Amino acid sequence: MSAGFQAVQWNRDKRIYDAVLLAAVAAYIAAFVAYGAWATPPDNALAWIDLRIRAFGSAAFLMMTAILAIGPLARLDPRWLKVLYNRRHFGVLAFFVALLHALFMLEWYIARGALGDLPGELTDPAGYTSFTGFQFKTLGIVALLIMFAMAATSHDYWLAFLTPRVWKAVHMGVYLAYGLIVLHVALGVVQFDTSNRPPIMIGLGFALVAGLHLAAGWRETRRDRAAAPGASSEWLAVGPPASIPDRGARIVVTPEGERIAVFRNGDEIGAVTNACAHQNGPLGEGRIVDGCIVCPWHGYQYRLSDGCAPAPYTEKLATHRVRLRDGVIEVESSALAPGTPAAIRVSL
Amino acid sequence: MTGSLRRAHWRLWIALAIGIGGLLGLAVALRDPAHAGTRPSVLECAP
Repeated sequence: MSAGFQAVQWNRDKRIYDAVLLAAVAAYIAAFVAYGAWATPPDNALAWIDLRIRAFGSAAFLMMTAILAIGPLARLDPRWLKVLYNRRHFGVLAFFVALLHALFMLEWYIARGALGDLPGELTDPAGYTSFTGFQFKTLGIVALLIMFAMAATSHDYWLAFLTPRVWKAVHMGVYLAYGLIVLHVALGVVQFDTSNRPPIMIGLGFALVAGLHLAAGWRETRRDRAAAPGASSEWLAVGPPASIPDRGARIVVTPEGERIAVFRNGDEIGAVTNACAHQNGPLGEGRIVDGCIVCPWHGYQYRLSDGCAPAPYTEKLATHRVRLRDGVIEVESSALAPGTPAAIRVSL
Repeated sequence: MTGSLRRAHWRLWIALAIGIGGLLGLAVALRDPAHAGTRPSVLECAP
């Protein structure tokens, strides 16, 4: 949680996560190469390189598809939070797999003694004047550069250095990268391969990512509408104190669309912004552990009383005033300065 | 995340889904079976 640099903040869960991830990627690539060599035996060194390019390229695409599916899956079903927890390592590994895909491409040119042709190929204007004849390698290179920027900054040091807002904006580039990868495949292997497997893979992958995002967004919009009060009152009704689950929260939505997480810890009730200071994780879907709100995404902690992370950490959340009126907890829609004590005690 | 940012994302998802999905569909529709498989290895475009 601090800005101090430590290469990787390892723990047992991360080691298991990474071991499973590496094993799955290695198994996929080995199976792809074995099947490819069996179905169409490569008859020269170039064909072997070509097979590796396809194996690593398809692995990178499937990894990016999985990475982008994790977010909406976790919104739709909290059991996926376990996979979200260490998604950062997943992304970095996807970059290295994509990098190897590109390096094998260079190896192919070198093996042919034609590396010098590549810049001319990439800069030939004729490669940019038709749709299906578009220079698809350029799309892949740009996607790889975006993935590099994200992999290089995939650390809490950079998160603190850039600030969460800027860091998140940089990492939203993953959607641009994915779009470029889809087109890289659609205008590359889909055009030049007689097999129907590439179009099926890219079509299903893209449909999965788009469908999950739309489904998660639609459900959240529906929830927001249900949770938003009809009038633009300054004080928003939450419900009787007992309607807030103990050590859990209810989320209310202001008329402006801001989400507020109203937590109860026994007889203490407090309200904080629903967005975690780390990566905007949905705090209201988290729990209170040892008196602190715990973000369900990465475990960042905040005191319920004032929204401050416990020492030695320094993150602070904006809090909201709460009051009990006629047996109903109400929360003020306007936020207080981050770290302002605002929780109250009620008799249940 | 602010409400306005979330709404902007919602519009972004739809625009991306339609845009990329449309281009993907077009690329598959314009695929020329006679042309497919005739290219050199590594899908090289250069002669």
